[in-house]
This record gives sequence, structure tokens and C-alpha cells, in this order.
Amino acid sequence: MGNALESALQSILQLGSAPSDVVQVLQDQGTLGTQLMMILVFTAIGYAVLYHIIDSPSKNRKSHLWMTILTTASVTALTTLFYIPYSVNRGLQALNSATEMSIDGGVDVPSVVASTFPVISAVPTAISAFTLTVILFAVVVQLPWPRRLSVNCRSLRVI
Amino acid sequence: MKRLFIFAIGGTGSRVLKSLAMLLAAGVRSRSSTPYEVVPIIIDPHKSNDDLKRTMSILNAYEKISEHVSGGSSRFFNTKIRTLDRIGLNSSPRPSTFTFELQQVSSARFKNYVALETMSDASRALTEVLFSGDTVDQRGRTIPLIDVEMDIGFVGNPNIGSVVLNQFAESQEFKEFANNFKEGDRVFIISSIFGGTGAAGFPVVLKNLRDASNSDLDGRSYLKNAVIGALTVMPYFNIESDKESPIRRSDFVSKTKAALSYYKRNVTGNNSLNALYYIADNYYGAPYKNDPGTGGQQNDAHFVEVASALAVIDFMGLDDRVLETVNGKATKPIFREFAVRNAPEKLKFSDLHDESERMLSAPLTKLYFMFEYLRDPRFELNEKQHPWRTDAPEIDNTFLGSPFYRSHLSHFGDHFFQWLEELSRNRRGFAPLILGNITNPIADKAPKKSIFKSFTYDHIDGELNKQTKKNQYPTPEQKLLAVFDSATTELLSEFFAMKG
Repeated sequence: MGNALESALQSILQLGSAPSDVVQVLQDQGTLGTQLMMILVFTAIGYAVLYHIIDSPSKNRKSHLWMTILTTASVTALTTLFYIPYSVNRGLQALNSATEMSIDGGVDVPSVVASTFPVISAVPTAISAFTLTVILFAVVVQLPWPRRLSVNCRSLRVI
Repeated sequence: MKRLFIFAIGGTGSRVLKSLAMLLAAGVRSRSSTPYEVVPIIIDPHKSNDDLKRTMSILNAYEKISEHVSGGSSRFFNTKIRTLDRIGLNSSPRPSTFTFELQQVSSARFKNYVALETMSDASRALTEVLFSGDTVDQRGRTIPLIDVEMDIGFVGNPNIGSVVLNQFAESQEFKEFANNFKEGDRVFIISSIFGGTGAAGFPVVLKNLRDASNSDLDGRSYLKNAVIGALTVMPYFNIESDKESPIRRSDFVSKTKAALSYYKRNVTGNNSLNALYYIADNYYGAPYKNDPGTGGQQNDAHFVEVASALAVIDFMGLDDRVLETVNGKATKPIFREFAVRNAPEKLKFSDLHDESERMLSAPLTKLYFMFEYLRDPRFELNEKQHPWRTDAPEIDNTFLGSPFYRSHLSHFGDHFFQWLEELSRNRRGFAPLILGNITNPIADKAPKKSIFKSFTYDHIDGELNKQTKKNQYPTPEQKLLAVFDSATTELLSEFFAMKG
């Protein structure tokens, strides 16, 4: 992923001010790319469920659209809340193991004790992922051509 | 387009026309139907007759609706109905109306109409003998027949009707009709045989049509050999017994016999007609109010009128080859009657014979679906919910306030339900549809049901959405009717195994 995009994502997902080793892990693991894919996939699933799987004359009100958006965004946020700490902590663990191995070999390297990334620290990220999903869903819903494939929900949009 | 001119005479004529308008609105047609433009001409001196007023209101609404949806793909209102003055190339000096204006009838007594006072003594004596007897006036008082006020009709006296209706050939309406009559056009005459106006009017109209060849009218050559059909309605309802009224049920049969005997010599016997349909019902259920014309005469719709309207549709479908006319005489006149499979007090679709059931069941159910859906409160509330309404051209609430919808279609729908309700409560009744039950509308056929699927209101919306997605419509008026036509066809096939 390009640096500019990565920085932007870090900033959007409230991870720009994270400790440097966490940022390093995020970059090494490609966590942000996976997170972005997750948002896109969940949005697509939410869209498909409402417009093309349920696609019902009785489930085509604006309230149903918002229910689907909020459910999808909540699922994304919850997944983010657990995935980001899991992914970062796994990376940090690997980093710690690598540091220990260097000392065992007698090489003169600074002793590193990497940070941890508790779930609570991911709350702002989860909120950001939630917001991002809502915005993305709202934008996708405004596109006429995929919506026209629907029978009963094709007149359904955010505004 | 070929035209079918329908002369509807008297109260029965109006009531049959009302049923015909309902059937044509639903798209009822025979197997071999040629498209016709229908031009009704109502002949009834009783202008304040409520049945006549209702029929006029229905025909006016129908005409406006069919003008808007002309050329569209819907079978609803597909047959055009127009007034006589609107079919001509030249503008008519008459106001646009479906009625034939009988001159010197309004507020006139029969004795003044025939100028009794100016007759010689001998002629006067003969006239008084020919028109002896009593009748009632508009206030219900007994008066001599010759004093009858003709704006309440001929009060069951064909002898008076035959004199007054003879002005038919000299009327502006007849001239307009004859001047616009073209090759291939047809004429159909609807009348009852047991009253006054219809019984008198039918032979008079028929004679004048065939004799038009002797006139200087444009269409005279076509009229002489025109294909003419007629429906003669024999007694089919009961009336209350009222010693004060000149109308008596016991007279119905004797009047019918006398008229049939006359027809034998002057109508059927001389092959003036290409097709004659007879209809009657010997079941006398709840009696109608005995109203000689003074009370407005509004009778509930009756199944016999529906079957009579089917005769008109059958006539439209008859092949020209079997309706040949040479020198004003039908070479092979056709005579038909109507029968039902079972005759309970309340008929349903399955009580009709196959062909009648096929003609009526699907179209009436489809039209019922449309109007029942449109009068459901959910329809106006769901303006933005369903793609079939939001796809262009939109069926939004602005459209629902348009004259087409508010004044014509809704108005026709109200008449449609009133007609169904009257048919249902009459005896003999016709109650094939359950009013107010859109998910189980057919009295003798429940919708198909499985553990996964049962027919709901959502299926109608779903099918409307599907049809709108598949098709394009030029105007909201055409869209509304066409989308309901195709959607209800699919629903009938899927849930009721009926071919629409």
C-alpha cells in the first residue's frame, strides 16, 4: 500500500498517534490493508443482503436501509475492535521474540521491550471503522446502476 | 377502426350498458374479437331515471380513461367508448352526450304530443280508443293513459312508445349516426320486451335502420346491408305488488308473449336481424321497488345484465362470413340464448359454463385486484416505497390528484365496487368476488398455498415492481393500467392457476 494512503488510513482509524513499534507492526503486517478490505467486504455483503438477497417489497423502507447500514457498521466495528489488537499484539510478540534471539547471539543491539495493544486502545479505531462503513455504504447506495439490478429495493437510497 | 353502434333503449338498455362498460373496462373479450370502437346511443325519455344517470356517469368516466390510455399495452379500458358527436369529422351542433334527445317529450303529455285537440272527431275518437286505460302521473296520482307525462318514460305502454319513438329517423342523432356509418361497422340494439320504452323502441329503431337506404344520408348504402344484432331481455326480476301502480308483474309474461308474436312477423320472421340474443330468468327473488318512474328508478345490477353484456361481446366476435346481408335481409340469421351450469341463488364463476367463465373470471378478478389495491390506504401512504411508483413516469401523489385519477379512474372504481356489491346482494345474485379481501378474492377458488409461500399483499407489490422493471411506459396513465394488467395476469397464473 502506498505510504500516503497508509498514513491517511492511520489517521482516519485513529492510529496515527500509536507508539512507534505499533505503527511499525501495522506497516509490517499489512493490518491496515486487511482492515480496509474488511470494511469494503462487509459493506458489499450488507448491500447484497438488502438489495439482492432479501429484496422484498415489505423490507424496502428507509428504516430497513438504515438498519442494514447500522448492523453492517456494527459488525465491522466489533471485528475491528478485536482484530486490530489481535493483529498488532501478534506482531509485537514476534518483534519481542526477534529481539531476544539477537541478544542470545551476543550481538550488541539495544534491548527492546515492545508495547502491547489492549482491546480498549482499539475503541477509537472501531468507532472510525464504524463511521467509515456508514459513509461507504451511503455512497454505494447512491450509485444507480447496481441498485437497478434489484427488483423491490431499487428506489431505496439514503437521501 | 370499425365501430359498433349500440342503441340502448329504456332502463334495461342503460343497465346492460353499465355492465358492458364494466366488462370492457376489465378487458373481457371473445376468442375472435375484432377491435371495435363502441358508440353507445341511449334512447330513454325518462331523463331523471337514476339508472340512466349512473350509466352516463360510468360511460363518461370510461371515455376519459380510454382516451388517456389509448395505444397503450393494457387490456383494461382497451376498447374505446365514444359519444356519437366525437366520431364525426365535422363538429356536431349537439352537446356531447351518450343520450338521444327525444324532442317534445320533456314536460309534455301524450295527448299534446299527438295534438289531440286539433284532430277531427273521428281521429280523436280512434286515438282515445287506442290509448285508453289508466296510468300514474309524477305525483303518483291515477290519470288517463292519454294524459301521461312522458318525461317519466312510457310507463310500460309500448303503444305510446312506438308513436313517440318514430321521430327517431328525423333526429339529428340518427343523421349523424347514418352519416358516420361505414362499411364494416355494426349495429346492436339492446331492449327489454316486457316494459314500455324498450319493447316499442326496438322494432322502430330496426325498421328505421333498414329503411335508411331510402334516405339521402351518406351511410345509407352501408346501412341497408349493415350487420345488425339485437338483444331482447325478457322478464328477469320480480317487482313489489302495488295496486296503485300501473306496473304489474303478472303483465310481464303476457306483454312478452304479445311482443314475441309481433317480432315473429316483423323482426325475426322477415330476417331483418343478423343475430338475435334472448335472455330471461325464471327465478324471482327479492322484488324490486314498484316504481313506474316517479321515484327515480334505481335498481340493483343483476346477473342477467352481465350475461346480456356478454351477448354484445359475443356479437363483436362473430365472423363477417356468418353475418351476410343481401338486400337488407340476413341470409343466415343467428339466434342465441344464455345458460349457466348451475343455477343457485348466488352465482359464482364456477356456476357458469366454460366459455362464460373463461371470459369473465380472469378479467373481472384482475380489475378487482387493481381497484381494491388502489383503494387500500397503504397505496397512498407508500408513495416513495415501491419502485413501480418511483420509476419514471412516476405514480406519485401529485398524479393521484390529477383529473385522470381522481375524477375518472377513482370514480369508475367506485362504480365498479357498487356494481359488484349490487350484483352480489340481488336475487338472483352474482357474487364471484369477495369485496375487501384482496388476498383471497375469488369466492370459489382459494389461492395456492404451501409451507413456504402463501399469497399476501407483498406479492402484489413484488409483481408490480417486477413488471415495471421489465417494461417501459410513456405516460403515468398508461403505466398504471398496463402494470396492473401484466402483474395481475402473473399473479392469477401463479396463485390461482388462471390464465389472464
